[in-house]
Amino acid sequence: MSTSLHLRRFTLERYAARDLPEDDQQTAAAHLESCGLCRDKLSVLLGDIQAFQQQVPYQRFRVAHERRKQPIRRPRWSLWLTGLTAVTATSLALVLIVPTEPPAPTERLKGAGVALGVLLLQDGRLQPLQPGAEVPADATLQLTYTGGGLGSVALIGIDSEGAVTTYYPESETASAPLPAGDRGAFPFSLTLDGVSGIERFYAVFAAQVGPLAPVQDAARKVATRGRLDRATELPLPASYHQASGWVVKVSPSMTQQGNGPGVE
Amino acid sequence: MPTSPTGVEIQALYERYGRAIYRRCNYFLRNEAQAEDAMHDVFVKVVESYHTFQGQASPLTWVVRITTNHCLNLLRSQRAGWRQRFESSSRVLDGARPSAFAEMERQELVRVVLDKVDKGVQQAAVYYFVDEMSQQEAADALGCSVPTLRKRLRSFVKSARKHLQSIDPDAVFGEVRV
Repeated sequence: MSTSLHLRRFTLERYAARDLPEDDQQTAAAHLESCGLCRDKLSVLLGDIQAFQQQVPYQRFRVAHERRKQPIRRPRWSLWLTGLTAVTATSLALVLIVPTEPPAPTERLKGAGVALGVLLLQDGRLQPLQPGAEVPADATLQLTYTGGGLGSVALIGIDSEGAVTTYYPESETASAPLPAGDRGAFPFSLTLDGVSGIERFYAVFAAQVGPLAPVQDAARKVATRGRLDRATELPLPASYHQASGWVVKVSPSMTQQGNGPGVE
Repeated sequence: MPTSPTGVEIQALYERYGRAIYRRCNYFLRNEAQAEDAMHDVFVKVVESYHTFQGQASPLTWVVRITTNHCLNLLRSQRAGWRQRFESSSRVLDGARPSAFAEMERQELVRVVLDKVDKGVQQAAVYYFVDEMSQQEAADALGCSVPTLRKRLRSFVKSARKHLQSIDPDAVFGEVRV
């Protein structure tokens, strides 16, 4: 590799990816030490790489990939048809939409294309969870969302002891604007608190950012009723759109190998 | 027997090569959502061919080759969209100052002319003028000799000049040594 000229863009890319043979890697490093122009180019490249990892993080790719791998599943009509007397034009539209864009297995849908994904982070890998999957009570989860074109989101959890937790946003007073791109992972991983039993998560979407108090009140009502395995929705006006998912937290000694299927 | 990458290895591959794939997809497709979809498809191919990938002297070159082929095939399959896109680029050049070409990024200039040449020449032009591979790297990526690569590059330059001169008869071109 010649050092008399500036490094080619592709050489810099290979250098950044440690893709060059060792000798060339060292030669490039030596050139970079003495050439400010190439160092600047490398800085720009490294900045691009960092921006990419923020813009399209691996978790987002992984979730999209898992979704693509899912076989097309028919909606569970028996469940959807319960309470059909209250069906509105909106929910009819949902029924029509669902078969062409099947939800990930952890989703519960209400509203125009919103979704919540629950993934288990274990040994550096993310594994999508079925509804009601058993996880260690101190497991770490990653939750993902699809915003359905809406403008704000909040994430609430209710556990089997009736505790209501506002996981997102941290301010707990108002919902958060949905970032551009509509789909993504919530900006944190969630380590459970070690309490055994069901925990259900509700992603609540709305057109605009608004106060969280009505959502938290609705969650407290559900918490007092119990039966979290069936409480797919919070009692909220139709202007809110919801998706929920749930896990069964078990103490490590009770955890089965792998993650069992949902109990629904 | 071919081995499949573990989750950790896939993540490492993504973090090392994802941006290179995405950038190239975006260069060809000019649409972030489509570029992300294309990157996804390319990355799945990379993962599925992991055993081949492991044997590469330059994994990045191999990844770039898969990406370029994938995107060119995509554009070819939506021929009307391709033509429309490049015609609109050409229209922008219509009426531009004679020096407009000189001020254009080389990558953009190559993009404007890509659909005027066949696939082998397209690949050569992208590897050499856009990716800035060396001639040897580009020849390796194409699976051809360096003289064959040069022949394709000269063919590209000739087509590019002809096309650009049809837009701006007064355009003056410098020497391109290939």
